[in-house]
Amino acid sequence: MSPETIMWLAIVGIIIFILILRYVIRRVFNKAEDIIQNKLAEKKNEKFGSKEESLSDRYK
Amino acid sequence: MKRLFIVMAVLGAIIIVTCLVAGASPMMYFIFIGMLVVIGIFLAPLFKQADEMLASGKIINRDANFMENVQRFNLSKVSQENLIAAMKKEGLPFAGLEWKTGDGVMGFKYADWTAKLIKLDGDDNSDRYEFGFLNWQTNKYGGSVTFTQMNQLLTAIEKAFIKLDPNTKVQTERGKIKTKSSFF
Repeated sequence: MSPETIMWLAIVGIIIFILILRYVIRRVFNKAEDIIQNKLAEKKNEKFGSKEESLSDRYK
Repeated sequence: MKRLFIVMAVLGAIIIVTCLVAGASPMMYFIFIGMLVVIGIFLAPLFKQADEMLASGKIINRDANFMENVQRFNLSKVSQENLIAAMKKEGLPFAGLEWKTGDGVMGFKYADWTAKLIKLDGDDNSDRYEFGFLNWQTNKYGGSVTFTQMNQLLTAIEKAFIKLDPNTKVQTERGKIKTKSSFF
């Protein structure tokens, strides 16, 4: 393999590696955020319950 | 539009202050302000459309994360035919919205989101319906691109329920969220 081919392979490899790393980081952060948000919502619903309101109040 | 002008004015002020501090050349001022104006021109139709819809009552002001909520409506007995007729009177389906009706279930599909209205078990005098968005696409800042249309659908459904029963009650709960990440 010529040095030029190796260079291009390295560039493509780095791009793919960055994309995979980006995907993994996003996935981990999204999962963590979902778990925290869902837990918080669950706790809030347990504590306060979902109160019933008049729908027409939203249009006053 | 007022919101857009405020955002643009704040960004313009930040750019001018930054350029002053950095001692930028007049050309740099021109480039940055020009970029801001171009972004404003692209965003103006979106803000204008939302303002017009707000003024005409097609949408109402809602929380930024309203699509994460599940709404449970409780109203007096109503047949599905009457509900569909009332929803049609409220302008459904609007352009681009696919609307499928089944026995006690209605499905809605727009460009990058889907939603469902399900009839729950009621009692002899009342009907219960549950509405929620099933999935939607967000941009990298976490906001939905077509939230105005989501708001429009929910507003039309709510108005249809109010027309059928002015004493309709609603319960709002945050639904469980599961985010999927895209590779690119």
